[in-house]
Amino acid sequence: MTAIEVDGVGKSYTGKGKRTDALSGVRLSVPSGGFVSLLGPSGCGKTTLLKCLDGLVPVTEGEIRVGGVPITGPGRDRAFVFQDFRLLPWRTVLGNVAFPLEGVVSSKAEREEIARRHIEMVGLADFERHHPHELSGGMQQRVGIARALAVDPDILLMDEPFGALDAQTRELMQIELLRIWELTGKTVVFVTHSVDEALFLSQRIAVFSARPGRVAAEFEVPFGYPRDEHAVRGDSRFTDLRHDIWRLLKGDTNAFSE
Amino acid sequence: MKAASTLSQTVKAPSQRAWTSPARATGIRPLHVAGVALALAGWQVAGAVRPDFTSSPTLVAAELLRLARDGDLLSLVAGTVGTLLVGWAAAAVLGVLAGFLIGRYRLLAVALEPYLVALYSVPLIALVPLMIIWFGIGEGFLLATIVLATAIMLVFPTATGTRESVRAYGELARAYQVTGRRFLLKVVLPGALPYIAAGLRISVQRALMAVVVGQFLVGHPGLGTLLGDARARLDADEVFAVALVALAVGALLTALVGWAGRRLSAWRPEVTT
Amino acid sequence: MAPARDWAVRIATLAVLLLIWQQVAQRMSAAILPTPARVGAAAGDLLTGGELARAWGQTAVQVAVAMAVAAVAGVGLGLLFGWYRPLDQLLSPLLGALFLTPRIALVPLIALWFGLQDLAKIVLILAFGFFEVFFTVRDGVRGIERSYVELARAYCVPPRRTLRSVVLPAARPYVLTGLRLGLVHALVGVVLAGFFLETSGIGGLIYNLGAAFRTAELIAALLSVMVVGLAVNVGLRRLEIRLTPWQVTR
Repeated sequence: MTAIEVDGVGKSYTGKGKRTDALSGVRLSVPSGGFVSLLGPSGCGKTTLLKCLDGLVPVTEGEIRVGGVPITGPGRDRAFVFQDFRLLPWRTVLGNVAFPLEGVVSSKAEREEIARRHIEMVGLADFERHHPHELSGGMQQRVGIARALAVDPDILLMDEPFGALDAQTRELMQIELLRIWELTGKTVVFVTHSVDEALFLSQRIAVFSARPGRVAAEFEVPFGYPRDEHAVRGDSRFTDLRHDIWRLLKGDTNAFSE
Repeated sequence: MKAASTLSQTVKAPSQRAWTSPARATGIRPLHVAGVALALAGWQVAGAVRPDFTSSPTLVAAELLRLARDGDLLSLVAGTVGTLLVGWAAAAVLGVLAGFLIGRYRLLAVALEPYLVALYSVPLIALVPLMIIWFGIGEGFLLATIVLATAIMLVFPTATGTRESVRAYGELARAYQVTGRRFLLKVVLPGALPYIAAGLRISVQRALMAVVVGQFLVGHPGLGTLLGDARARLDADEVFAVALVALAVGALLTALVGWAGRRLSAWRPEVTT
Repeated sequence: MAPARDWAVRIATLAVLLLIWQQVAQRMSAAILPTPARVGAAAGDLLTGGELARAWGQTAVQVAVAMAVAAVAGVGLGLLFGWYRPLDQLLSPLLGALFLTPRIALVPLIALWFGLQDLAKIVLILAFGFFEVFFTVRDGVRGIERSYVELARAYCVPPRRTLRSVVLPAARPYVLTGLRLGLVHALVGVVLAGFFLETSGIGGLIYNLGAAFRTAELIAALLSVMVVGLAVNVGLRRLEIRLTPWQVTR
């Protein structure tokens, strides 16, 4: 089953009388329950594509289908996880996770029940009364993930969710994310500029080239789950893939810096 | 340090960022023009109904011409701006010097900060009657009033700039043996310039108000006396004409300071303290 | 350095300043610079004679009315203009022009329209207080717009709910800051209203004391303005920090 089909998608902006192509002719399909990473240098349009997938940004060419139906805007079947966490600072952890349920689940008790369950899932049960500014970056993003899960979407769209975290926290969060993914069976589209992160997490990696952004190549990652960090990173196929992707990315940068 | 940082946060802000936005709105949009046109048209209509109450653009234009011809408008404005610039320059020198010392020597900051915050929080314009007692009603009084009202507004930005500059480049300078006067002139001062520029930007309006209030109160010839005459006669054309002149002077000064500030610190984005 | 030691230094500074004042004042006429003791006595007279209380009483009523209007209009219009860009573009040149006009230049206009009495003074105080509230809220709402509104859109929150549960709470710190700055500015309006409109209230008291060369009382009255200004600024700033603990800067 295909969860998402990206069919010849292009996106261009016109500003100051100049047209900029952010994306052009992007084709991609994401299987249901799959974990696909979009990998590329900064400014290659991968975040733009992710926002197009959510419907936050309209495409100017082509079509995106979710469950076979073309999308017209954000929907409850998809949830977005932001790089900057984007928690509402005046709300507690509980209030933040319950936020998207307001107006959907009418009983407050039920909303909090659902929120609590997901806060527990990300390991923050003791912090539901805390405000975001009292939490570390890693904890804040756990709240971001809990919020996304709370609406029970089919698809998680994650925009460099661990980009703002330090290296150790980042690795912990990666393991945590895989655990949650296996637990919930959601489809995940994960944007990153870290080759290692993409390799460790995903089943498939779509490597982007820049300006206009397009999928330059796709790589299948041949490891099963649950993944053992040390085993995976030590595997020669990991090193080979890493090498291939790097060469592709470097060739791309060279082509643009001539 | 906690107390000091709360205190200095207290002074962050009175009346600053806001006028950078209209003045710096470089991109003129059709709606901007439409708004101004609508307002002028509305004013003209209102003036046709109650000219004694709202005047009108054409009446004000005529009045401005009359003031320029018979009323010595230009020399009054020029005199006011001249006084303002002299007093403001003196305030800047004093304020920057004090700010630098406070930024550089922690003991001074600790000793003086609460009192400076107090000065920053109060309407210093209230001191004008005391200034009259001390300085009489001549030019000296006006200059003292401007210095009193504006110097404090340069102290905090300069102190912040000095501190930031030492914090950011102090180690670098030590590592390369840049010390003493060279450190001050080549590192600390340029690093603090954007902050000083911000201080100048936020103080110009106060300087203008200080000089106008001073003139208004003691009848020293200038923009303030124009206001005094307008208030005494309550002739709508004159009232509006004088307000427009004050607006023009305010806008001109703000634009000038903004431009100069950007020239002085082109290497980094404007700071708003 | 320990805060206790900081405050010891500050108190020592105050002592030195008072000592210098005392020394200078002893060599001068009391009409020019009275000694701290004389000012203290004058402050006592103003307090017991009720002059200070009466002046501040009149002023407080005017400030209360003006700030109530400034709060409602400034917050309301600030939200509206911050939210609806076209409206802001239509009217921002005019508001910008008003903002650039030294507020003192509005005195003749206010006198023309509202006379010299209480109403005129309230309008002048309003002219000083309003813009701070308005611009702070407007700029704040503009700053919010992008990130939180995108969040709300991503989670399919309808516009009305977005306004109520995202924009309004996010604007709260700006509202508080705006009100504080507005009130601090309104005090300038208070003083000038007393100078240039009817000489009543604290501004009028200062004007009259100055004109009569009652310097000791003048300084005492000025000190009361200082105390009020400081209390307003620092007190409201503390309140802001307590009410919006997540707001670290500004």
